[in-house]
Amino acid sequence: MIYQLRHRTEYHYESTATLSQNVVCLEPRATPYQTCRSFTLRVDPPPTGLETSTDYFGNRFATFAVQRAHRRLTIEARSEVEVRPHDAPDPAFTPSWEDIQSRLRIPATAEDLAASQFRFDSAMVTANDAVRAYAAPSFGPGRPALSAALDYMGRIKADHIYDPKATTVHSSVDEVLTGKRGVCQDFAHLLIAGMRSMGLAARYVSGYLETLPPPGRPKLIGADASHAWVSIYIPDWGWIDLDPTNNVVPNERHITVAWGRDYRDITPVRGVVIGGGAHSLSVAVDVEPQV
Amino acid sequence: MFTKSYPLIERTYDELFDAPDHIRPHWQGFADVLERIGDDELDRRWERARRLIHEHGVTYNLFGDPDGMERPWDLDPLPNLLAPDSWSLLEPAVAQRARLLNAVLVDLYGEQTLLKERLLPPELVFANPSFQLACHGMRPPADTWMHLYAADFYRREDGSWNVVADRTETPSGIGYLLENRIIVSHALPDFFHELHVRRLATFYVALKRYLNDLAPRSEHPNIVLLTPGPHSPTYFEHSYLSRYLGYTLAEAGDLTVRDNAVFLKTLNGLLAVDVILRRVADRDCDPLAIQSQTTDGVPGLLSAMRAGNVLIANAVGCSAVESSALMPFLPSLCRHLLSEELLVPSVRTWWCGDPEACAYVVENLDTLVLRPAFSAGSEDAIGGGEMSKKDKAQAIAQIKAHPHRWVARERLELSTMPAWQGHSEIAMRRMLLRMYGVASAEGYEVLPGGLTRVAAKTGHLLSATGNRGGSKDTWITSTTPVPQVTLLPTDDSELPIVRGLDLPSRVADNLFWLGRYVERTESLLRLLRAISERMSEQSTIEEAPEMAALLGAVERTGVTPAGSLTKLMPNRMQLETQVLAALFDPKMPGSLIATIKQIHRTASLVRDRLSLDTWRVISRLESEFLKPAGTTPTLSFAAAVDQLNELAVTLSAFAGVAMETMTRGLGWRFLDTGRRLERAAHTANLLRGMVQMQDTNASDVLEAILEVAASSMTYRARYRTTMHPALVLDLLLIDETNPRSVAFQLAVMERHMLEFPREKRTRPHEAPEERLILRVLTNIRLADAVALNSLGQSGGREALAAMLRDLDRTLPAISDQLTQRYLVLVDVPRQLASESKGGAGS
Repeated sequence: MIYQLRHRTEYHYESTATLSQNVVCLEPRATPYQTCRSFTLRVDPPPTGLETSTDYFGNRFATFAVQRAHRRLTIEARSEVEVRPHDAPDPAFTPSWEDIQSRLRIPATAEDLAASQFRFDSAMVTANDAVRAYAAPSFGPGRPALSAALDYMGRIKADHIYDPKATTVHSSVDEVLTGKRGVCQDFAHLLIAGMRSMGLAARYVSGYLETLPPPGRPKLIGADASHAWVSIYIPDWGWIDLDPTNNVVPNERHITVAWGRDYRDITPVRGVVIGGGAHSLSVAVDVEPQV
Repeated sequence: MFTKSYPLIERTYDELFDAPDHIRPHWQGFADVLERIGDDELDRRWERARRLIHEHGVTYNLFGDPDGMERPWDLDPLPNLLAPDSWSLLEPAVAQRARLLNAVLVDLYGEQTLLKERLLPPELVFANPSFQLACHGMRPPADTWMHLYAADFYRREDGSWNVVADRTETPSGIGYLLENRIIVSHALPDFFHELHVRRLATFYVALKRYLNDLAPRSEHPNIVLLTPGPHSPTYFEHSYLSRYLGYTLAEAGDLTVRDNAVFLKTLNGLLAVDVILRRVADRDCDPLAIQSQTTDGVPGLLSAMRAGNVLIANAVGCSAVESSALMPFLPSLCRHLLSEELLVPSVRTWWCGDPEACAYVVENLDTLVLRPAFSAGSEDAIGGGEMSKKDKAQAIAQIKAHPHRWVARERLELSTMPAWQGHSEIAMRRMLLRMYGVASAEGYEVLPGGLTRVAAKTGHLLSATGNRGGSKDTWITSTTPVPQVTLLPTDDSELPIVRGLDLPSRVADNLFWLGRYVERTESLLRLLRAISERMSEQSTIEEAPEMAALLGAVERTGVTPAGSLTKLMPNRMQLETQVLAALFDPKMPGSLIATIKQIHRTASLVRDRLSLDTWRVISRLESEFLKPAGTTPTLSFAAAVDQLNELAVTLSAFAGVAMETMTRGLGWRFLDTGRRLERAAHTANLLRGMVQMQDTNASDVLEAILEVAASSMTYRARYRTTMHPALVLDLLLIDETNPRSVAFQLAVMERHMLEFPREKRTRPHEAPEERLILRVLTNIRLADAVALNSLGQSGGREALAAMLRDLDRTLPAISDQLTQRYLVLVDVPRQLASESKGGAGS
């Protein structure tokens, strides 16, 4: 499947901003199932010192500054991405979660070592007794790791209500667990926290999901949104994506941009500004499949 | 003093006594000198030294906040005398440990072979929040991550040394210990001379030299010391060090990153910064790269560091090796990375992430001290022996649930040493020794001294970071005389002439406001003093017909709302309450006491720019001015007048010190512009009282105005007792020889502005603020006092009213223009909102 992606972010400032410095993570990275065929980033007003770099996890970042007075800042990323069908192991034949836990404790291979850094607490995902207690029923003794994870994901989906008003980008896992509401970022963090509390490696994935309009209606421009899900590590197999918001194993309709320990590592657009007063933010995303 | 020992503790090493009433041999020289000068002389000298400390303390402890800016450790005159064998062991040990930890940093932020070869467990890196992913892949010059390093040493019962803590991020103390040395060497010069105490300056010279060598532009690099600001508990030291090293003290708001390079925001525009000696924590350094919630950092700093355009010392990321969980691994890391044996071991430490260590800790918790593996400081340390049964069970459950998060170490029996009590008395204190290394081209040089910290009381233990307790100068002695070292260049060609053009905009802003608040205080003081005098002397308001004009002037300053005082004139009791509030109520915005507090606050923000004498004046202001405990309002006013007189003298001392000690640079010009602006506004405000003045009480009103405007003497000398409004207007508005007149202030401001930096100046009076001044000053110069005094149709002095209204509008406009042009850079960056991941169902 080939997608045309457009992700437009706009800041409006109440008064004149004299300097803004931004870091964006919008360029879809290459994965075994995905190729980014083209990527362009357009910033208005024209920035100075636009530089791209690759972070510790191999994600593509761009940094830039707008050093002139401005009242509006527009950041538009366009890309063309090819997504191929994913393979997935038979859940029943994955190693038991305890096996993986002990293997990650003393990593034997470079892959295990690289995966082990996703086992620990990170800025926005802290495993604690409450999360562990919530996840535990899915992790019976000797249960194959992927079966356990799928079960846990299904319970997150069943127990929580999708509610964009319930949480903010800074909400903690505990708030989601007690409030039982949230958005994909929150459910991804909750899934990650549960996996990590079992000693397993899980990472946060940001990207897009192709949404289908209701039958008989045309697709609205800008109606899509950026999305987030989770990837978990099965030794000798690799990473398998899980989307707790939709309770599915992602495939060709999920387009990956970046991964990290949590949202904080790969925030799509962030920055600081001098002046500007209060500001408002609007985001529009289009995911157009090529037919 | 040393002939009789305090009771020694069993199984504890004492630094002075090796047996009851018997001192260790390396103390003999000290004891000899002490015996010669005598205990009483030491008492006398230390009394003098204490005054010096108190003065420094007064200087820096502005808010009298017990947890705030105080000097954290009391100083004791008896030094920690380090025996030659200890020094020859510790010196290479500090250098080795610094090299080792630096090598670990190079590896962790680079190839990570230590993880791949399983010399370090991944938890110590990936679960450690101090490991900054954003710093991975950076290559600081010469692979030096740590330019400064400190180790805390503990002496065991058998006299051997152990390291308790590594300080790798922003080691503090090299300013405090320098101050300790200066004070102790003043008090005990003969000891220094006879015992050949090694000097400390070489260490600071080495630091300066190496930062120069590594700077991206090594020809006269511009170096700043980055501080979190006055709210930092160690701000005293930042300010002290920046002066000693000759570096500009900068806060995050003073720096900005443009095109991947760091600049200092100065009045002359942006000045490139080559080196940042930082005291801001890793996690707060760059809100863009490491998302922190504080404003202590500079957005873009990390990419400037990565691009090699600025040297940051220590490099951001160094706190990654501060965790004591690393200690059990250091012997093998030392063999692996340096092919050496670790010279001085760490205290016995168990990291629970290792199953064997974990089992040991759970088994022996009673004899251990437990603490989180990844939090700096030891405040969270819990002695297993002191835990209740329930707490212990909980702790063990926590350890078992997340073993890698916990570290335990053996209990420390800190060595003891004497603390001077005066009157030939000594008492016993527990102690820890902090020693420092500075990077150089040849490895690490070790400070020939250290910061010895002692517990506050005899029975107390010492926490590794706690601020209560005392400190001691630490002496390394030499058998031969020591050479003199100074930070001043010895070769004339090395003397670059600097005339203070790099004044940070923030400093100029604060000096401008300091000038305004000082003058505002003086103006208000004169006004309220005139009112208080009349309140204390007159039984009825009618006896002082000028009261309405004076109270009206107070209202116009905005301290109290319009009409609030004049309306109360028939009700004396309420009026008295209101006037007392305008003097003493700190909650009333604009009251005299509130304005004095503003002086303190503003001055504290630029304390590194003000002389010690200026400080004495400023700290006296607030301590002098307290609400008198008068029983009746009349008595209160009489007492208040005395206080206001004292305060007036102190304020004139400020003006005198500023005039006579500040160089006529931009800082002084901004301070003085602030003063002139306020004084012009104040005098204009007084003259407003003349607009509707009636002939019946004219001379009382004019006398009062002259008194408050500090011009009565001049007027009398010129005109004797004839009171004429036109003559008063001439003296207070137009006369440019009267330092109280409006015209005088405007003329001085005009001269200052011609000296302010401009990108290019093609003709005078080009800038809007210069044109504003020119206009009002010309209007006044062209004005005729007799015409201004003439009454209009309404019966008031309309021409005067128009001129004063114009001043009322123009003076704030001048302030705004100045702020726009020079001070707007003071704005600090804020985080932008980020979008929420909102992806819905399919």
